[in-house]
Amino acid sequence: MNFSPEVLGILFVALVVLGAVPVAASLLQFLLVGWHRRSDHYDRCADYTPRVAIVVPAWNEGNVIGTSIDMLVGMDYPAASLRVFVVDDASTDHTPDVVLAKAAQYPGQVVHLRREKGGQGKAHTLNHGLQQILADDWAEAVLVMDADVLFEPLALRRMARHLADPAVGAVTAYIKEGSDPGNLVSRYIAFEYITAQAASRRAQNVLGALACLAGGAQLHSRASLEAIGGRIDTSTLAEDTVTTFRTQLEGYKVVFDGNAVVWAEEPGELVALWKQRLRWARGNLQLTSIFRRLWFRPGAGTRLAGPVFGLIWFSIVFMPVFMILAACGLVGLYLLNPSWAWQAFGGFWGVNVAAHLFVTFYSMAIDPGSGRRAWFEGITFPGLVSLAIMGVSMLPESRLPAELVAPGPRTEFSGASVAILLLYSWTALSMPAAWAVYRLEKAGLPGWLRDVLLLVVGYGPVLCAITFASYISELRKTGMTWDKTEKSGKARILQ
Amino acid sequence: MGQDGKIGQGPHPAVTATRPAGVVLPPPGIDLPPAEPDHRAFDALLARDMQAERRLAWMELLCFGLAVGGVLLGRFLAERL
Repeated sequence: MNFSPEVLGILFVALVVLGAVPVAASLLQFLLVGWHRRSDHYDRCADYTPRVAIVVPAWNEGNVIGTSIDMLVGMDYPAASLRVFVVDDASTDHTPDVVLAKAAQYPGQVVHLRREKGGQGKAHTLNHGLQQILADDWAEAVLVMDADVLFEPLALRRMARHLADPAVGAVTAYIKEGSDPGNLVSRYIAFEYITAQAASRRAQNVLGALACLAGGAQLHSRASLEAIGGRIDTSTLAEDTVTTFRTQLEGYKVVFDGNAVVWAEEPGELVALWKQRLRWARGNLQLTSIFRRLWFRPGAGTRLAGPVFGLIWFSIVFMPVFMILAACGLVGLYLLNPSWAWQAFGGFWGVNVAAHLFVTFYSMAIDPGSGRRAWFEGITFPGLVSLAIMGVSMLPESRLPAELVAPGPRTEFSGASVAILLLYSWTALSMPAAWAVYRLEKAGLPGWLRDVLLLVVGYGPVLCAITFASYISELRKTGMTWDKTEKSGKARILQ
Repeated sequence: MGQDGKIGQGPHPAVTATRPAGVVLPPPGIDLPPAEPDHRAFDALLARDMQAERRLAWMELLCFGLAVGGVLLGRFLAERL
């Protein structure tokens, strides 16, 4: 079958346009943030302080659990309406000693639940606690959190006010990266959380469908939790997301409150980041399959099935595919007609420049504190190579060597041709490059050199590479193990 | 407590009513209506959070303008330099 150059050209341009879908989805989300005041649910809030059982899964959290408990008990919340249940998942460190000391310090407010056989993962640990909490009718709401998360004094009060509306089943808070001292990786995460939580979840509030209750801070009404069976899903690696979806499919509203802030220690090394995010990415793939009858079905009776939410979801889950399609389109166009390729390249990266500027500026405005701390990481988020390509893409065609933009099929290749092919395919090549940085760190690369390479390649490509790795893990059916992220207790409330 | 996997339901601390400094109790024999909960702190917090969300709307316009300006400036510089 022979296609004319024009048909092939249209096909390749279509690939480039498809490659721009994640950028378009990101832009759309950030544009929705401006409408959030109309959908932030504050108009239905009331001064409501239900009796809250806080369930804290803990496995070898001796370094962090004591501080977390102190901050929970010290929150601006009626003490008589607050109980902390630490579910100790057969810890082998001093976690039991710390928790028992805190139980003695705060009698009646802190409870130590011990599992003698542990290691099954967070969901199983949570279920052990939930089973016992829900067996008693004391709790009117349940706060699920991580052992290292530090709650700002008003965070729970801000979350609980939404439950005054019985239509709301669950509320989640804004988790901020609080490593002190931080490093390049943790500051990249701090900036990422502005975009992925503070901005993206506000946009999802506007859409009326939330993708995920943050695992470190999710407040459920008792009724909503019982409606989903009183248990957390244990069949996937995305228990938080499955819980979020099931809550909404039961007809409850799920709300993100960006002003309810909690702090957590996130990975400071690529190796730990890779382990954590691979689990999340695999969980997202599993969830995509579990709810396969839901996507893009606006008549299904839930906003989760809406086209915009679907677009956002799939642009994240299939981000590496879109990146590869864009590279294929540009390279194909170059081989067909270099002039067309340059036009498409300028358009594709032009959209990226606009999106990068808008997202970076607006992120700093949405969370000025994290923005001040991680402004450099915000600017260099795509990597120095991508930033350089953005600059090159702005050059007019007349500034390029004629051989690179001459019309007609490309048959001979010079050094300049190879260089421009590398530019055109960088969206795909950046992923193996990011994987190489991860592997080098794993092999013992010094931290300063890892930082230099990470700056060059970019943090965004690292996330894309992890998502790609999740496809391979799922295809290979690699065993699903709960790889806990190690916490050292260096998180602070930084502002 | 709790080592056997059961909830250790310890006794709750007794709630001790304390009188804040400066509060004068009514003389005996005068019935006051039951005190309404003070929601002023809650209202102030909610108003502050609403204001923060309103701020995001006009900040969005500003940042969008900056981004468009940045792209145009980049194009201008790329052509002239």
